[in-house]
Amino acid sequence: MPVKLDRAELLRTLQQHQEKLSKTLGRGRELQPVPVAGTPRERVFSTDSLNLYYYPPSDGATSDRPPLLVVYSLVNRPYILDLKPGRSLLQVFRDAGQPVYLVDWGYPEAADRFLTLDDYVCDYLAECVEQVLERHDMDSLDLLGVCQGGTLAVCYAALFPEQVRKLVTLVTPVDFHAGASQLHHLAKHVDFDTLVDCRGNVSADLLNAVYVSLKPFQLLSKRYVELAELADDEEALADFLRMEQWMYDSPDQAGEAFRQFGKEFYQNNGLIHGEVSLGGATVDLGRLDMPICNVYASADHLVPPPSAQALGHYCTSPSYREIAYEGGHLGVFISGRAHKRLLPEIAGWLAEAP
Amino acid sequence: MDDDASRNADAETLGHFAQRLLEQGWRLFVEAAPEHRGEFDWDTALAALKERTDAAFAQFSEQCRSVELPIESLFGLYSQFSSLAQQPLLEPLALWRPWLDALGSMPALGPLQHKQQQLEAASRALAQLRESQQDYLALLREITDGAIDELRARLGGADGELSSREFYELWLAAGETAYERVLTSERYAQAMGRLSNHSSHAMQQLQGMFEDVLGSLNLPTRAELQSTQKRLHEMRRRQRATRQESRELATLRAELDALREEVAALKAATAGAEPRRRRRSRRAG
Repeated sequence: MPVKLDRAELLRTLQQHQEKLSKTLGRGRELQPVPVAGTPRERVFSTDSLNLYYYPPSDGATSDRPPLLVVYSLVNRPYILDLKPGRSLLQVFRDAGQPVYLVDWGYPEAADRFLTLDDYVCDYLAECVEQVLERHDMDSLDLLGVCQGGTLAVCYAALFPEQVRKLVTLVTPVDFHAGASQLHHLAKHVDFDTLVDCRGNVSADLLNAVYVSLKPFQLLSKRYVELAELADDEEALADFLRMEQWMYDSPDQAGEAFRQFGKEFYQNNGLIHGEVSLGGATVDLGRLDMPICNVYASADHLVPPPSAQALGHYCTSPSYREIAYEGGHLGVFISGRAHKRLLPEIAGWLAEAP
Repeated sequence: MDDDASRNADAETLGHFAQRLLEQGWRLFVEAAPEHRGEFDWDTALAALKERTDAAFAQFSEQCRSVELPIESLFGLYSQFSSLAQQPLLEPLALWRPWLDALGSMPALGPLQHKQQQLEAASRALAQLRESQQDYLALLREITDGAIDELRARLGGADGELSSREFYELWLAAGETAYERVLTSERYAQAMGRLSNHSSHAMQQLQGMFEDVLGSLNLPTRAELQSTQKRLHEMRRRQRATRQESRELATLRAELDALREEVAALKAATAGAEPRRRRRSRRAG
């Protein structure tokens, strides 16, 4: 093999790396805790672990536009949608003049072990919708779901289409077997019944281990080797710490809801087969006849594009729009590129008359 | 030392630790490799690395086989609790030793047959868990071997002088490629499934045993807690349903009030209009 490696250069690099890393770690410690979820908001409703937040417009103006209700996944905290000024999906929509609300599912406790997806969709989410509609004295609102939150939003919109004026889905799995989904691959032989029966709520640590196992080299090595490079870039270091905090700030999963999602969605792919039943009614994707904007990421390792694109095959919306974002899963809602073009584009679509 | 100085010292220590870790990793890799005029003998270095990782895996695998899991150390505790709870306290524990020793080789008989079956099931569950751990380790070993082969191939395809950063990137790419090849295979999905299921199953067995012990000591058990949680959940559901019904009732009341007002208005209008009709009627007659 003709490849050469200079031992002296290697030792020099290691020494420099150590110096930078020491500096970065020292500064990182000073910067923690990093502020997140800084956009001003009001809690307008709460029940059990759930909070519903309203993001009032910065100029105090009132808007007669339909409100937008944002639904995030159960498996992570929603402040990824409001990391800092300028990196906030919620801020983008608020500044576009729409009243914005966020469902924060909170951290399920032991007493929440028996919460099912019926409770999440037909009670919690339904109650949030009711609260928002009452506040604005309207009959329908716009619903935006992200990742698993998108799946919950799709279920809600299919069950109560008359309450959803427009539906936006970001990196939302619909066909759980399409596109070589790695999560389906890992879930297909898991006995969810025994798992939930013996563990009750499913711990965040267990789920984090699964997520890390999908990209261990990136998440356990590269990420921290590159950390040393942030020694002189305080803003980038603070951003790194924000992401670091978010990645491992994960709620436990309510046992019954986890069992249902694992079996009915991931293993049986019931959503596209009309086999999911919530609140006593079948979730029929054919009832999705409202305008839909469906965004998927071309390099998404959690929700492969065909998994998200399936929504277009099963809905009956005469006004279905699909946007492909060139990038990974998180890029859709945190990247600078998304904030520059994608999110304003969606905000513009929401502002259009249906 | 003030806080800032202390923090900086900690960070420096961590930084040194990271450097030592990298250096150690590097030494493992190159120590055995001869170098000629700055050019490594990569084949020898990679062969040495493979030898070391093989030895490490073999050692780890053996440790997994022989280590006493917490669940097993609890067996002894369980036996003691169980005996104490079921027998007069003065009865010597030694009396039960032969029974415990004979577990697995005798039929389940007598008043303690349920306990015997429980212990045997737990023992089987642990054996399955160990087996699935070994299967999973074998896959990790395959990934490591694959990564070394991949690195060898990539080094073969490279040319010239590599910076340490470039070498790291090469290692990273080789590792990822080998890992993803196995991760996406059906064998990996099955191994993960078995590991998860056997781990849950072993936990379930332990829970069953503890359930009995705690119950016999009149301590709260998991089943009791779950039963309370379930009832609490049902109450919450009923409460929500009641809230929803109240809301619907309020809507109906509002509609009823509106209808009443409408009827009253219609009546008033009709009362005012009737005499005119009568007058018209009279005129018509």
